[in-house]
Amino acid sequence: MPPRFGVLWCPNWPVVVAGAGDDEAVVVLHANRVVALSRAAAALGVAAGMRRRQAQSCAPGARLVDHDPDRDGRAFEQIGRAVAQMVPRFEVGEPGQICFAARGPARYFGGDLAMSTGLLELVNQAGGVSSAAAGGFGVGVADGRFAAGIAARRSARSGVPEVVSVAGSATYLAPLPVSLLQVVAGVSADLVGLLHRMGLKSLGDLAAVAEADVVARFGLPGRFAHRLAGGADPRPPAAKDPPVGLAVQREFEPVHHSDAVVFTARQVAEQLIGDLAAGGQVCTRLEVVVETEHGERCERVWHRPLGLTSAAVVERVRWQLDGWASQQTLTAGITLLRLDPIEVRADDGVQQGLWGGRTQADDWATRAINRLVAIAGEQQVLVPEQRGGRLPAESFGWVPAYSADLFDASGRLAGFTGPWPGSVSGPPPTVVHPAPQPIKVTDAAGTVIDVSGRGMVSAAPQRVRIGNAIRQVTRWAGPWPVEQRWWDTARSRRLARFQFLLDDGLLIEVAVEHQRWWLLAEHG
Amino acid sequence: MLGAASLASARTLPVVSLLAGVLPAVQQGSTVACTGQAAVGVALALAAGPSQAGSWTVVAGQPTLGIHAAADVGVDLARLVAVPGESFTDQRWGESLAAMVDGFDVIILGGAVRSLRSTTARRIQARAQSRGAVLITIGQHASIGADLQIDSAAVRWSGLGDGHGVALTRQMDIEVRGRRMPRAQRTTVQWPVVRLAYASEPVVQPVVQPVVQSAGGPVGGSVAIDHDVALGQSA
Repeated sequence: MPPRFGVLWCPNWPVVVAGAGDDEAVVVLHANRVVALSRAAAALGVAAGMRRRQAQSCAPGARLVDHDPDRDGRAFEQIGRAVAQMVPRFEVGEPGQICFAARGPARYFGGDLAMSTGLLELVNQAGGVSSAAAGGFGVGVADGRFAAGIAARRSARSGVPEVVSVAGSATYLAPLPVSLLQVVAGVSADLVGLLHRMGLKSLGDLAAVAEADVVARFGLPGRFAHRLAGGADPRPPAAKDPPVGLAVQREFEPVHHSDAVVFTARQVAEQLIGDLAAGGQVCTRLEVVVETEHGERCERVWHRPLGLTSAAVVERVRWQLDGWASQQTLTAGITLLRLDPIEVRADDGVQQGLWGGRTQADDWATRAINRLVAIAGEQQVLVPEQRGGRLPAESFGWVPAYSADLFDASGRLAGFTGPWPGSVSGPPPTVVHPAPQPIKVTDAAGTVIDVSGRGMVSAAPQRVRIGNAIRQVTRWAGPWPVEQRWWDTARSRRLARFQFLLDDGLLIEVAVEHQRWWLLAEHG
Repeated sequence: MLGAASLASARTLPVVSLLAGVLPAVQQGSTVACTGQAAVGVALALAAGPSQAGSWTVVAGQPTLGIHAAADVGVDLARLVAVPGESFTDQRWGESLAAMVDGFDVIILGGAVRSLRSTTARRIQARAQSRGAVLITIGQHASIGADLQIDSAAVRWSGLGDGHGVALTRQMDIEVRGRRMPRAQRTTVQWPVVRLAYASEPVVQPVVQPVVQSAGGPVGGSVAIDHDVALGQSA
């Protein structure tokens, strides 16, 4: 039977940090998707995972806040310090979530329920008033982390602690939907969707399937989900405590700036995580210890079920340092940094990003896009969209990044928009004029070239006048006539396209429409 | 950040096979100027290597960028962002570029950034160096000193006749000069690479008269015609 765990969870922690008033609708967005929202926003119909535009149409007056994990992590340190008054040893998961072994504190404070009620009061005081508007904290106690996490989630909604009886986790989980696997444990959305379509709608349904069958069909991620659904500890039985030699410690001259410590942490973390990865392992629980010259000490255990990358380690060191420095006046510079992996497991490929395989580069780019929109304006930050068409400017276009889905581009880049018979084959032009430039095309005598309705060229084009410059045409091809949308008077077009190779080696694509010549694109 | 610059210079970004002969890798934090006839194409080709490896690319001040060409040379469009910024002031460009350097690995600077003040440009370049981002300029920007210059010259298109055919591929001479390169590297590349399947097809005599097609474009036979011209050129 898995050990008893307590979980403290504030599902909408980013909203607490953003500071929501009692009736204020606040929505926190990441990559134009809702990640957290206040109660008032939920009452208006906003839900997590919605697109920005959708959320805005539900709640037009809502305050939109960009997701900033650093800010959330720093602010959460204060909750961690409050919890430490009752529970000395705990692990911090994502900001907003704390997990601890419940047996000791429960004995000391007179039972699971008394302990969780006390903890909830303590945390609500530390979190301030705004946490109530955001949906507040929840405390759940159960056998195993997953069941305790679900209990905490339900408790956050009801406002009272939820305690699952000893050995009752499997029964508690059985009627709950499988989608909780994705929300609470980070199981991939694909797997959860597939389970649902197969008719395994509740966790009990999944747990009732023989483990061997689940492994045969879904492999290791399936076994992970199956073990969770059955109320078992997700920690695989093969997991062992790592050898002592893995901890990395750096001592240095007193440093007064957290950036310098974070920089050292980056080197140490890259070495540590790299060594583990070379052995096919990932670290799931890590203790970070920082000490000052005068012996002031801050230690914290960080937990991430999907495994900590070196960037995630650095991020957590920064949260811990900033939170520590802002809470307590330190009397001396920092002299010691120690990273101690407490739990490692074989890297079995269960690690998926919370939102489906996002990388660090994706996160940085998304944050940069948000800042760019603030600096440059919504209409100036664009992402490509596939449209389809015969002319160079028609096949692709730009749309504001503000309204696009940045992580799942399959909607705007469909890949195939039809055969488009009559489009010019060969390499696509590198310079496409969004608005065609007027030009003049003449023969050697200076007469403007004319293309008849039947596609006959009056003479071979010799000179092109672009702006004020007159250039010679050395070779040319065309005309390729297009007549599109003849049924629609407003959008119908009748033109003939050409390719001209100019004397300096530049290849241009031009078109003639109603006796007027236009420069469409260049192969620069 | 402490010593990040020295660390960044040791790292490189991958280069696509098109340019691999002259340029094995691009150092993170460096500035590359793409000049000559095919400057835009070479800039896109440079961005393609990192893009395929998961990096994000931003195109600043180049509203005329051919998106299809970017995809064709290997840039992943899901990780491409553009900021046209045609009427931006120097200060606005400075702020925007600083945000870009923080979040993107490859920044392509087009014509609208050409008027950047040299103090702003130096600040952005220093930031790119410590962050490990690569700046690629289209054309020679007066205020931005480049570590590496890739010049494309003598572009020879094949496939195009006198009133017939269609442009199929180009050959060009690429020359790479750099501050830390003792000698300029030169090579001739064909781009895009024409698949060999075309070459084995029977060669059709070129049609001299302009081909008049009702609604269709150059399809079918014209590919063979183009290649005939292409072969004649390379021989």
